[in-house]
Amino acid sequence: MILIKKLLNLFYSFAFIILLSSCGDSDTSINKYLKPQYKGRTLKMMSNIIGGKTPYEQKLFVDELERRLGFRINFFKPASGYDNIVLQIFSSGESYDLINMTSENLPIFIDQGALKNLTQIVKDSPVLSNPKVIPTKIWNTIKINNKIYGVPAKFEGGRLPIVRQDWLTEFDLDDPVTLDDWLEYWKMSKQKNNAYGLSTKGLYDVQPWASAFGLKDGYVIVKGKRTLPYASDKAADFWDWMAKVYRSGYLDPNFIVNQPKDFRNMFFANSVASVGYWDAWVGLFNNTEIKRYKEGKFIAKGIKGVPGPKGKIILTAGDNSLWVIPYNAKNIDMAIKFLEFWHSPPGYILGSVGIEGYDYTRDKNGKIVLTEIGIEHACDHGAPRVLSATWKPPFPPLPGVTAAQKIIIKYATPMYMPLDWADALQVIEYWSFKAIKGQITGTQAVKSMQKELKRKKLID
Amino acid sequence: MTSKFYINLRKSYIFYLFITPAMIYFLVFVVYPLIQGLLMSFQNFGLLGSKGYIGLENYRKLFADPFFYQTIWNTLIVTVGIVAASVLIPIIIAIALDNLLLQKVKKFVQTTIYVPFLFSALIIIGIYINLLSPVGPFNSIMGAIGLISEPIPFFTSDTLGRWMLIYMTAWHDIGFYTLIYLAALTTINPSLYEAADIDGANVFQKSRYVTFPGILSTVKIVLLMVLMGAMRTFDMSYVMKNAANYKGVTTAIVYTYDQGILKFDMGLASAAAGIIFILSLLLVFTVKKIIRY
Repeated sequence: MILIKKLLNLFYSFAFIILLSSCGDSDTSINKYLKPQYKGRTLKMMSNIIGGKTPYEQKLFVDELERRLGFRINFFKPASGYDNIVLQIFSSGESYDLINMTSENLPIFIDQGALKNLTQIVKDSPVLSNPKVIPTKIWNTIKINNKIYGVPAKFEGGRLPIVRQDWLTEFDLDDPVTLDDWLEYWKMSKQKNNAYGLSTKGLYDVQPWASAFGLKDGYVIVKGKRTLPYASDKAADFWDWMAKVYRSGYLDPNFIVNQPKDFRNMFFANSVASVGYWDAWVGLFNNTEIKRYKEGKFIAKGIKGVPGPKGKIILTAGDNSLWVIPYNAKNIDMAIKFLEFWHSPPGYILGSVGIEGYDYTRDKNGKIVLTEIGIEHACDHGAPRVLSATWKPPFPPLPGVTAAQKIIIKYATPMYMPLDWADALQVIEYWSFKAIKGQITGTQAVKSMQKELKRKKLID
Repeated sequence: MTSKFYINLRKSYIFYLFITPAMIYFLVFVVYPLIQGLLMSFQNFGLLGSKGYIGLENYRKLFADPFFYQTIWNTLIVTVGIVAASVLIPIIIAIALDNLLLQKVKKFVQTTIYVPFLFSALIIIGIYINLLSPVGPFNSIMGAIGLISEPIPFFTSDTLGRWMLIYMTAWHDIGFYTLIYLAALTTINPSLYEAADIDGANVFQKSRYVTFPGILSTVKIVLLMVLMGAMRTFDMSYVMKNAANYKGVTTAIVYTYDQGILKFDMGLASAAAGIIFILSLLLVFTVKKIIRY
């Protein structure tokens, strides 16, 4: 009995030593990549866009970043409530070196003095200032008062009408161009497939159809004055037209309370004929339903918006996903190093294809071969599409994305959303919903909008 | 006075000791933040802290905003509705339950009506949005049997939205208050009912002259609890408000949250919170005076 106890003790001691030594090994494996100038420092960063990685995969991802960059990284990805956590971090004074946020939130943080001005930093960086890496057009959409406060993380694309090509073929119709074409497509979809014509999340995004009336979403500065085209006199006809769509039963009646996942699910479930959504989702729709796509029973297709009175098509370019450096960041040099890596070919591979040896391997010729896990990730590890126009991704994009992306690049422009936009949108939605539901006319809606917007000093 | 105080202290020191932790908690987590909030209401206080004192500017901005008055009005209407529903309906249910002879039925109803109290606002609104959406079962059935020609916009109308806010809050709380009343009903002396029976009183007369006076003090407590809770209605309002109904369902507390947390204007939010606090105190003291509690 005593002998057994002694043997067991010996075994436990041995196991403990093995455990300790393995921990030490793991630490050394990170240490051997650390560069002397970064000794004792850690890049502290936070993002909620990680491309659907599991916690284990996220750890592998961070390890790979540390190996590539030569410094330690503390990468925080909150489980939920991202925007609130960002607020708490700023208000508590906790120091981060990099935080990911959308350009929509930028004005309010700049107004509070919470972000570093990166104009000179970008100018001094040979990578970030290279227009082949980040096009000048993108920088222009990010600048606020001619200053840069964030570095774009990826190509965002924009929103456009997505239709069911298989239904158009079934109905013997071409791509809808005019508003009448759209009404015909929606009518057929209702009659033959018992589907709504259009589903949205409020006014997000009716821009492709507002384009027919020459209306641009968001604020537009005209002769130095803030105007809101959706609240202008010429918007009355658009709201009347939307009311007609609603009255005809083509508009999903849940459009006011929908979340994007609701109309996405409806699109998958053949319950709606079109949505105004991101170009990348054309590929994601088709890829998710790849079996039906290959059988020709589900083909999502991105098409142009409706041309306006002068033939101009207006679509919305997406809010940029930005890396910002907070006012109290301690390791700005490391943050820049990360950003430069993120916008280089090895960074593009890591952000899209993933981690070598896990998401992909290389064959004899050095060509990337996706593993089963890599295929599942669909080349998304936080930046599925990059801003560089010269870099060629190792795999073709998902079905339908290239055509949709071309439309976005040609027609989409960013929305101008200054500090007051959230308040203005609330007023526009309130009255436009009344008009769409037929409770008031389009003219009454825009008059009410203008009155309230002026009273609240939201337009000049 | 001083000697009286010391005599009392010596006599009941153990009880003072018991309430000391609660008093410390109250001072640290209630009084101190209240004073801080009051000071913030006189400052330009943003995301990164104070940018200095600005006098009464926050109050001027607050009283110049018509939407603030709208949210105060919404809060008052919602409070009246919630108080009426959550104080009175549970009395009826509790009396009915107390008179049920079948214990199984009584326990089943008691448990069933308590269940909503276990749900969060998010779940309750999720349930009702599914049930009452324009394409949900309620509108579909009503439409199918020809009772309505258009779906009823329960969640996308100011007026209906406000009613829904009252209804859902009451639906959430009724089970809880019913249990409180049921507990109070058990304290009524059964001989009073026997005497009423001998006098030939019917059910309504017994309720009016025996039951109601017997639970009156509980009703007063429930009234004050509901009143104070309704004045700070937040979660239901926050979750159900959308662009189509926000003018009817945004309560003053949600307005405060929007200003402070979403727009980072903590100074203005503190001023709004101060006004709401004063209004709530006034209302509670007035009601206390009326009900002589």
